[in-house]
Amino acid sequence: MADLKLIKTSTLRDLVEETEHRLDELREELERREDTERHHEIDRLDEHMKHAELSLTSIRDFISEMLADMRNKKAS
Amino acid sequence: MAETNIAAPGTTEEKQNWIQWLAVAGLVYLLICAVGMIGGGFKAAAGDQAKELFAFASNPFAGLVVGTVATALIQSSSTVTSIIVGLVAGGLPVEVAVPMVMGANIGTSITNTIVSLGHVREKSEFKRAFSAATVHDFFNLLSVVVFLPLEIAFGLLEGLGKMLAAPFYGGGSASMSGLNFIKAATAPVVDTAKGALLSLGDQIGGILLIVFGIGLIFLSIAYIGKLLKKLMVGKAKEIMHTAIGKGPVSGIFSGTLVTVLVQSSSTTTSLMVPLAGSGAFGLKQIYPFTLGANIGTCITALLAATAVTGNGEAALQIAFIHLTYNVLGVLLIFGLPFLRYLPVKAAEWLGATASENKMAALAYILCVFFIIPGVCLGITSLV
Repeated sequence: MADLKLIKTSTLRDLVEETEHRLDELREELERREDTERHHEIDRLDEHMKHAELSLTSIRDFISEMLADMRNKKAS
Repeated sequence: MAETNIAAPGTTEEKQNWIQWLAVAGLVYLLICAVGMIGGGFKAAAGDQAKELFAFASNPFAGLVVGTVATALIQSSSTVTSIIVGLVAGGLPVEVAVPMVMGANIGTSITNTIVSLGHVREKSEFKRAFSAATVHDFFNLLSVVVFLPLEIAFGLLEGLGKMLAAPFYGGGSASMSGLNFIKAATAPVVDTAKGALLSLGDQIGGILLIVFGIGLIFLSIAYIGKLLKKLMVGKAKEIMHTAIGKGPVSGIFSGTLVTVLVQSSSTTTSLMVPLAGSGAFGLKQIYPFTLGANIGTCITALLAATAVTGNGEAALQIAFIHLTYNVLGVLLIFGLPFLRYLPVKAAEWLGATASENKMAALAYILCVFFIIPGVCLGITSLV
């Protein structure tokens, strides 16, 4: 970008306005995509409900991961 | 059109739905009967000694611990608060029951914390899931830190509960005690159980009635939860879809509604865990749903208080205390900017710590829900 000191004040003002407008557009698009992703996850609620139940498998997996973690830390 | 579990008339699916709804109604009826049995059993077994029997819990910290550990073991705040309602109807002093109700709030948050352990295989997923679970723990702990001293000093919640229950009992033309058809409907079952077990003697019979009532509450709440999960998943989806992009207040209302529909705060808060784990929902989106779940779960204790025998007004008072405590907790902590995101910050820190060191997750669960409460209970019993 050209040296900022050389840009006219009015041009600078326009650039700031344009950038702010662009930022708003980017934020809107980001929010729209994030909301779409959330709606998609809610559509999978039945599947999530299965993973939201207590299971001995997940406790067992956690304990084995925790022990592996401790062994790695001891080794290193 | 949203999935609402309403099939074409006369189909097998529709018949199955109707059978499941009838089963829910039957189980709710059993739940209310069970609470009545606990009240009757406690009254028979304890007689006038109710206060002395629970003297160990007259220390509010002991009561808090009892509520926490009992709920952590049973995995259902609805079960524990229903039991508390029954005991209060049978003579347990309300001031002793209040900290137990607060403890039940803490104890129930163990469920979603354990559920989050299932995400351990992927570090960033586990960090998100564990944070989403423990934000509930931290909110409930903060709620106790704020309200327990107020309760000890001023009896704030007890007073509010009494004020809310008073119009329903003996209050001139506003009294509804004469119209208690729920009590009349549950009386045959409760009286039959009482008749059968109290014939063994007041103490033994009373204790057996309490144990039977607790078992019945546990089973009915467990099966109500299972059935409503299937029946209401479509409605729950609908409610959650409408809350997307609408801000935290909408999230709180949605969490409340979904919890009322499925009759279980553990279900709602546990559901937040995989949603957070997926990465689609940040902690700031999950948090309001969790708060709503705290409020929605109060409906069970209110239902339980509708048909107790014995001190019905006190039973309704404790049910309203449960509701008031949770509503005020949300209003105060979420309402005050400097308190609002403290649970979120704490949960984010803990999630990051636990994802780096899994032992921290285990230590947290054991300490918060068992070791610290156990030590506190030991100390208070010695004092």
